[in-house]
Amino acid sequence: MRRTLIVPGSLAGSPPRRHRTTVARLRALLLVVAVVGCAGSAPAAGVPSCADPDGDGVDVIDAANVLRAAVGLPSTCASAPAACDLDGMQGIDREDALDVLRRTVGLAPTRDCLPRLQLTAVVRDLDHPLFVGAAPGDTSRLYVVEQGGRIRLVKDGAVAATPFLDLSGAISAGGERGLLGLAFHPQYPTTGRFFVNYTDRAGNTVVAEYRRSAADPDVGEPVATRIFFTVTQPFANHNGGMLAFGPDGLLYVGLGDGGSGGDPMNNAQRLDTKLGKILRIDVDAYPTPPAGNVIGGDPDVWDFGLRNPFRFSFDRDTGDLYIGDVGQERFEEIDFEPPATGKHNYGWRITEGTHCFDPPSGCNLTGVTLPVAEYGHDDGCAVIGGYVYRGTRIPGLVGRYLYADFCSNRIWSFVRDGARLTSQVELTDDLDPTHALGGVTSFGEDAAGELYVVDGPTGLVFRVDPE
Amino acid sequence: MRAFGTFTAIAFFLAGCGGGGGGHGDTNQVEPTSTPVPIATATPIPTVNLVLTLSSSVGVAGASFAVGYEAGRGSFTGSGAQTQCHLGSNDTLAVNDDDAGTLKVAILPADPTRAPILALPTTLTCSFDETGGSVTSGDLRVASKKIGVVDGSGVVVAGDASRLDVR
Repeated sequence: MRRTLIVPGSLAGSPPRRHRTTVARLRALLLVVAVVGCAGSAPAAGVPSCADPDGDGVDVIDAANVLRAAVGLPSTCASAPAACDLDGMQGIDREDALDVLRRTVGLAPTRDCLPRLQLTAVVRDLDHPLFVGAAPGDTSRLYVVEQGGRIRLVKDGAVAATPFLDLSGAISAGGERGLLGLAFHPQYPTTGRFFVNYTDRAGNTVVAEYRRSAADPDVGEPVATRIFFTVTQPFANHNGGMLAFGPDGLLYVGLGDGGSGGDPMNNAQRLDTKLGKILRIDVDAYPTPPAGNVIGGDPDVWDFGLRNPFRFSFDRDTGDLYIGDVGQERFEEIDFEPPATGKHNYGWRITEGTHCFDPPSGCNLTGVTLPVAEYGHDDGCAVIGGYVYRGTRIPGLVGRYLYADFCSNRIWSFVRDGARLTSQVELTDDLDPTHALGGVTSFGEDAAGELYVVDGPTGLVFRVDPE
Repeated sequence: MRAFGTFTAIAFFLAGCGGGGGGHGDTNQVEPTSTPVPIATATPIPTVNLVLTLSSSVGVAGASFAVGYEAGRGSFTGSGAQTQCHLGSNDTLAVNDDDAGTLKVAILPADPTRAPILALPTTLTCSFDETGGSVTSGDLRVASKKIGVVDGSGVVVAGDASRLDVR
């Protein structure tokens, strides 16, 4: 099934970043990062803010520009879309313009603005963290995956000295290898079951099940209760690594195409291998495949045509699946999948993003599901798929999908509204005004749906907070 | 402001207790009585339509200005966004009267894909409640004019507000 392609205009080029302010630099020194948002004190001249894309105060000129943007005409909103899409949820439309017009004459706004955000460092001194997550229903604990093989327990904000699990003796780490993924059973509080994805000493992918210690809920038993499968990795890179339970209670596994470059074995398009796939398994019935998987190949295949789905997530409210698929040399992509659809071919190696890869032109897109968002390598090198925010601390962020790039550390966001993307906004200078992030390796959610950003090189985990 | 003046007396007739009690005939009837009760009714406030003419020698992609008036002589009919004003064109109007001497006005093109600038000249007509004597358009003071013009790159930028004439 082909999908309507909507390429975020703000991502296709190199949108100018917002000017950094002295105040913002000071904030960053405190490791608290602020957004130049819509509320608060009067903006400095030239700094866009809510309803004020030209940054000189809200006036009829702003209203005229928002109205022009709403109907597709040139405007100052081109360089400051977030300032014009007031609520950040519908795209820039006439209601935004009318709202700015109301503000011009001193009337109360009819639309809320995108909230002011900040990144707050909540965990420090980690060793190359790659993921953060939580067990269902447990709001007191976070679990941070370190590439070297440890799962660190963060309990009530403090990192436990004893790792929750230490697989460092069983894995190979470095480059794209290591302990790459963690997921908790949907009934973890009672079952104590959790699942990991790592590359073993030989560099092959292992998906295994462990259990929480019966004697101490803050540690896991060191021996796996089950190895679901081991996948031979022909090359060291493109190991995928993500694990997540879907709304159907089944475990989804991201596996890359086996590595090298250009998928030389065409693994992603072949159905007889787990490589280049999103797999879907029933942890209670394995190896019996759940109904609905792709038929005629490896029984665990759910989606195919993926190069390296390092991070994906389910919208905990809708069940929609968002996949960040790392590209080759030109394009990074976000794929979207409605709940319980599966069997999508996301194109690799026929396509890279929305563009032909092999062959480089005239490729056959029959049956290919193109990404809903892409960006070129002028803006980064490796997409880090994120989450749709469903927390409660930032009401204005609810329903918004955030994702990032590992190399540029740029952070973007959009809202999927039916068949289209709206309100594509870059949040980089809002969340990281001094560009202090060293390399975003993952986003994560806690049990309450609050959102986190994992910075591998600096060993920090940040929570996305309202300012 | 609303003024209340004359009183009008309305008689209320109290119906007596009729009853059908038998046996007493007409002797049981109560003669109806009337009691005058005064209640207030509003005296219509004089209102007048004040008309401002807007014109410009340049294309205006958006305009705003403030209209000052003597609050002691009344205010524009309605308040805030409900102030009773309308344009002589189809352009989009926002108004906000603070009932204390200032009416703020902002105007955008109705559909910039069809007409990127305001349809000028046009008129702005607002109803004014004269609670302190008669008021004419000449009593209004236009200030804080601001206009936007489309520049060479197609975006709206601040223009020379003196090119907008409001009188």
